[in-house]
Amino acid sequence: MSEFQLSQARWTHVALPSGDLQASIDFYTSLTPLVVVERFADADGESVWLSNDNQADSPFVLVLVSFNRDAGSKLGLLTPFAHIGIEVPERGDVDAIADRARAGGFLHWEPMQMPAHVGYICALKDPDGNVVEISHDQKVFTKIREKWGTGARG
Amino acid sequence: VPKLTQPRWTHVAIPCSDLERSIEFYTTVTPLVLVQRNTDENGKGAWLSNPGQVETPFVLVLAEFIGEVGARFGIHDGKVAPTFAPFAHIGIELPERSDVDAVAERARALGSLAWEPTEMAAHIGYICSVTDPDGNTIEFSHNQKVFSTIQELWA
Repeated sequence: MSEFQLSQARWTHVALPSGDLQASIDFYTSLTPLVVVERFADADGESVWLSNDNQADSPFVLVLVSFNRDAGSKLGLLTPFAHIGIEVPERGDVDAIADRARAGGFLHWEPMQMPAHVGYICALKDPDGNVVEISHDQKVFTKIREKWGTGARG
Repeated sequence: VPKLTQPRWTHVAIPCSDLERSIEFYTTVTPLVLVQRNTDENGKGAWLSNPGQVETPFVLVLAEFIGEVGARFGIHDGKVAPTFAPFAHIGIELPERSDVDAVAERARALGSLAWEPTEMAAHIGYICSVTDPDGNTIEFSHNQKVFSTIQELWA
């Protein structure tokens, strides 16, 4: 057994169905910070793990699974409120992603200012219709760092 | 003040019917702990996280909306349909095979066990599944190896 054994119970993934795995991978790797970690295939279909690049200390992946029986379907579940939340460092990053998403036909909500703890956001729809929120100033990242650590690396 | 310097996936958000009931469930049955609560004119919410996950923050956002706001999101009479179901799930990894059995026992006692512990294909491992108070599927696994695969790749 390797030195990388899990030593405590951990939340490590969320799994969603996809009707077109390649379209989903293209979407997440071009419009979000996620990168492909691994791909799998078996008799029932294929799947992929997507993660923040290099997130090694606390592994967490988005598992997308495309079952052959569902090929071509729109299988989005994270909607209308439910969503995947991505934080960006600058307000201008929200606008830039919205521009790129609009060009690709993936923009769901135009950039808008929300209450303080939500921040400046836009939302995309992935190829299955799952909502992906892009936010500046939502502060999940900074609040956790403030509460549990003193590191300042982003 | 710690500052975000690169784009990061930091949360998954789902609606719930009864925030207190959901917090009680997640903090009793899963390893997640309460980070903070938020209240505004739309309703109330909570952030849950692996304990002490500070280098790469990631939270489950639970939101309970007041009536008319919920209605805009398709929630009527406060009854939320599960987001993660039937295949879709929240995945929790456990260090020992017997931990899966222990979680299953606790969940069975609470009436929330969905799948008895089962041995699956190699890359899935030994799992059971539990439903949260709104019917969302939570998978508990031993030997699924998301954690160890990523650590081997990037640590």
